[in-house]
Amino acid sequence: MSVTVRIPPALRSVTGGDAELEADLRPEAATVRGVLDALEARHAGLKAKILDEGGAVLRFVNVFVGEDDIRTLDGLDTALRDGDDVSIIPAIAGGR
Amino acid sequence: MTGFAGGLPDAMSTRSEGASSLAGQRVLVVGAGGLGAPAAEVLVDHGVGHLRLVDDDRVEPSNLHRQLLFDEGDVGHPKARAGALSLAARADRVGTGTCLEPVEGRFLPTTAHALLADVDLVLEGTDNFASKFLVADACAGAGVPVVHAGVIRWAGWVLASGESLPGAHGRCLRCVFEDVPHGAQATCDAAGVVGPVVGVVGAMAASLAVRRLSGDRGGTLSRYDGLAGRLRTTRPRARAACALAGAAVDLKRPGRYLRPAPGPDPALA
Repeated sequence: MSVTVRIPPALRSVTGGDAELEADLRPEAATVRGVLDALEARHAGLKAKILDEGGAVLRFVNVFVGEDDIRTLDGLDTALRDGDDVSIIPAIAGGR
Repeated sequence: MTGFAGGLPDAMSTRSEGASSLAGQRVLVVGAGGLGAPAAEVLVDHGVGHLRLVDDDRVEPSNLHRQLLFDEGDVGHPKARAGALSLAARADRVGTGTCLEPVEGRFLPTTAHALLADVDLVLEGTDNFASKFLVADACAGAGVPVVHAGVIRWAGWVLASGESLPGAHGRCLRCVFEDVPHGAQATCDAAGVVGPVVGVVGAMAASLAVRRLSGDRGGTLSRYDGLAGRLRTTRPRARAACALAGAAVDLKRPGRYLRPAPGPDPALA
């Protein structure tokens, strides 16, 4: 199964500028944690911008599956289905 | 509708409708910079009755390319005052009669109460996390709806808080981004912003503000990617464990809004 991960501009330095990444996942790894592991293997350092040292999602970063914040689902264990759309949304503060 | 000439009357009639419905509304705009300025222009054009503009900064030459409220003659002058003068002239030109109230200062735990007095909505366009979370906390405590906006380089976001009802916390900034980021994060001082992007995002924030003032009480989060030209909008849910859900907030607790330490930004390194 395949999911699309949307990378915000602030994290694209790790993905070589790519704004969207496709990830093919085995059924047993079809979770948000699984897709982050899969992407980390291709883009080392990506997980460190999303998860803290304890492996939890950073408090100022959001991960959405479709329209839903994974905090309101099963967190990193949220199950993914074929064709799901995962968005990484860090807080940014600027605009003066 | 046929082209620009066909669209103009519609745009003007929309402004007239806005003027009639928003004339009794009072808005606080926090930050008169790249986001606050275009947002304030939209609010004036829609006929918001009273606009309080708070900023402690002065106009610099480097601001002029994106902060279109100001021109060369404003350099060195307080943004709140120069912005209010520019907006008052605009209100006269468009005929909405918005009353402008400049406040030269900062939104702080000690000034929050007075700044929020009598306002129906806050539009927050500051450039740092400490101010964003302080405004979110103060607005939650005062029961005032708030629209936040932030931009870095080509990326921006806007968030409209949802209405809190007894026993049902409305979605807020802390429902989405839980706390002031630890360590150094990018702000536009360090990472820069792209002029047209702050214009787009500031106008989006004002649009959400007008919707809220017109009765739309839902909360939305929109992310704009100026490089891809893509806009994505979701309606995040209120989070049961949100720090602002049902709990009184001590704005003056030491360290609550510690600004990030200087240093390389881990998200951008």
